[in-house]
Amino acid sequence: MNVEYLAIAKLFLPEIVLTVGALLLLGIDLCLGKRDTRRALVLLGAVISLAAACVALLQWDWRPAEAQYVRQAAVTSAVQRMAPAVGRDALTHAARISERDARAVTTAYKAARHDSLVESAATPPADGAPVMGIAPYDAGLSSPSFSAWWLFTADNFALIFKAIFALALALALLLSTRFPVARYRGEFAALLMFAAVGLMVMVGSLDLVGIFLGLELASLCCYALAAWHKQDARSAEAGTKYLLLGSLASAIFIYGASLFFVEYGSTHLHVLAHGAAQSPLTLVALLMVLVSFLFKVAGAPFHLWAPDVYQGAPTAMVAFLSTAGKAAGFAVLVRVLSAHGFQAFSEKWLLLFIGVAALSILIGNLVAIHQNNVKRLLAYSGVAQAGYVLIGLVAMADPAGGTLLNEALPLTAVIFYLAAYMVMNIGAFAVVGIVGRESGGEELSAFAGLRARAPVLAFAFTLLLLSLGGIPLLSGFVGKWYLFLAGVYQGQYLLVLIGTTMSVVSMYYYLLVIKQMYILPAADGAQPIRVGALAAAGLAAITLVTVAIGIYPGPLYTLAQAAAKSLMP
Amino acid sequence: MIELSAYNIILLLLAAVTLLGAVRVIATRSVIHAAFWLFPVFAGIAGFYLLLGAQFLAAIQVLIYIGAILVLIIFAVTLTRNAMDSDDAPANRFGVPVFLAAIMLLAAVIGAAGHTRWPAAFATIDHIALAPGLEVTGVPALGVTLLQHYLLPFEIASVLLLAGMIGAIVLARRERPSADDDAPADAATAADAPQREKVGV
Repeated sequence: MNVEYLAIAKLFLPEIVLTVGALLLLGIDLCLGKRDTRRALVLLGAVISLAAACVALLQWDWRPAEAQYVRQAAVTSAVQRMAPAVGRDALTHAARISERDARAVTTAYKAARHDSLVESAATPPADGAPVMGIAPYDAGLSSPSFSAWWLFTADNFALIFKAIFALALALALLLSTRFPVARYRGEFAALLMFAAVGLMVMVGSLDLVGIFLGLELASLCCYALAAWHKQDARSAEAGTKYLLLGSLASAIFIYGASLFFVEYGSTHLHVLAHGAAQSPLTLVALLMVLVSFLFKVAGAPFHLWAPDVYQGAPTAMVAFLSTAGKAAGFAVLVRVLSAHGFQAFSEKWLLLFIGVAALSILIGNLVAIHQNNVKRLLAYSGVAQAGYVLIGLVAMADPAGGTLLNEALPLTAVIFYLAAYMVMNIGAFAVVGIVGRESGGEELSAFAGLRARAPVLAFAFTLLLLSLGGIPLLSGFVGKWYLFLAGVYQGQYLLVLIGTTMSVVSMYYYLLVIKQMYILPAADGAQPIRVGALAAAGLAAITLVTVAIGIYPGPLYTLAQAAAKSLMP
Repeated sequence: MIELSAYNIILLLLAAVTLLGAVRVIATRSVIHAAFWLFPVFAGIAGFYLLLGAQFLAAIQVLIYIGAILVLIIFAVTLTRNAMDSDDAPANRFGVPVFLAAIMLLAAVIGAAGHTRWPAAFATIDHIALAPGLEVTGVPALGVTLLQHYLLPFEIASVLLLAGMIGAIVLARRERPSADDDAPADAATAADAPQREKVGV
């Protein structure tokens, strides 16, 4: 059987880089034993994840969206032709396809392949397009190279998220070099890298099976990482709580996926999309899948795990989970919803999403006011941020006709905000981690007088908090602006009103922290805070990027728009 | 109405045994009893596989779930008896509302299933044909599905197992009291103090 290994590898380049890197890290860690080398190891991990981010961006498909869509259109038409004949997964039920349909599919695939080859010949840099993996139909649909291409994708939408995860991983590792992660520094870094691989598999998957495996890989690593400080009761509680509730969410997801399989004989998104009849069972299954990912992004009624896990888990892991994990959850939600054919239900999931968005914004912001622990405060602020992003998801659906808009603005806004949020939130958690390490606590009072103890740290934290609150000239403002704009275009005035009002409320608790740092005096005997050189460099980069995006959002917006258009041109 | 054939009677009996076991697992207060009640659950699921004509899966279910996992759970429960034996398990204040919510969810799923137009025939694992001219059935079909069609997810599962193993080893490993940097906050500071460059930010 002719397996196109290179084509398969092209679908997974960032994942392969990270997996090999993690194995390398573990190997070196086994051979050497000294703590200093372990610190260097974590640095090596950060470099590897930066390389993975570069690889993801190098794979970027610069062709206009229409050219990329040759493949998508071919598959769509092929499945549409097959739908009346079988209505099932084209692969597992290939024997049932009539001769004529088989020919049609072959022609479609060959056309797709031919077009893409012509296309890539015309524009050389486009060689890395995912089209290369197509095996001709008659060579056997079950060949691994065809299946890889059928189950996974490396479109721009997946690539931008892979880059976000790899960057978040690099920053989290960089900042964790001096965070106390007890012993096992190498294993800590390796598990964080495996978690990133899981998230990447999630966003690159077109099949619920792949999504589930990626979800489990990421979750399993995060359960272990949350309980990393075994002797600390809070960390153990965080790990147990996250394991129990996360498993429940996974179980709900797999229940929904199994209901899909019962009805359609497949879990592939294209097949589900084209077979989506108006059956009540499909609605139940869809709602289950959506709810499990609303849990992962900590949307409001499903957010109860977040504060406890954020408070107890190691800060480096929380920084990664609260940004990359959240982004991955939203990416999968978008991927599932944008599969054509769920329009029939859009008024149903729209109601769910509007409710969750409003609740998240309200609960997140109002409860955050009363928090005394800055990690919990950031957890509730994260719930509120999830609500803002959900406004963008709500705007993806047309409230009148119940069809997905071809307009790319809502999805662009969602991707833009998730990227900007990744940078500023990791920065915020990094500061909390450094202050917590030096002062021995993450209470608000630990930040008192930070202006005198660490002026640059206080300044960076102030900028990041203002950005989270949405002050102009910082990245958070631009992101919120696009999200609210998308909401207004879609006529979600009430939701946008709640969002803007609550943004003002959120400034209150962000300013509470700033007040601690700048106005209140330091506690007696408080030491000046020392920041490691690496952490300082990382923090400086984060702050600079936050300001740069706020002043000049053009490049990131263009990138996000290209990613959005690759999903729905 | 359900036709009263031998197949259906066995199916209903199996379902009753499985459900009874599952309810007992979560309803009983004693951990060791819960572990033993898992047996009818796993055995009942093996019975479902047999009814569906998937003998291989049924054998695997018995070997792995009953032979390995259940025995392991019982071992773990008996070896950690002291930690698990506390009688003061907190009462669940939300028992009644959660029960009502679960009943409503069950009603929704059953109602939805009742209103769904089902495909005329289901393909069992025996009848999967992967490509024209390549007809495989039974265990070979399973192998082809797993190692050709789902080859990449299968490989990802191996990474998942590796990650799970690393996490489990780190969490389960007994710490020596003389560990160098055990306690989270102070130890790292103390141990690093000599080599830390004083960056007075």
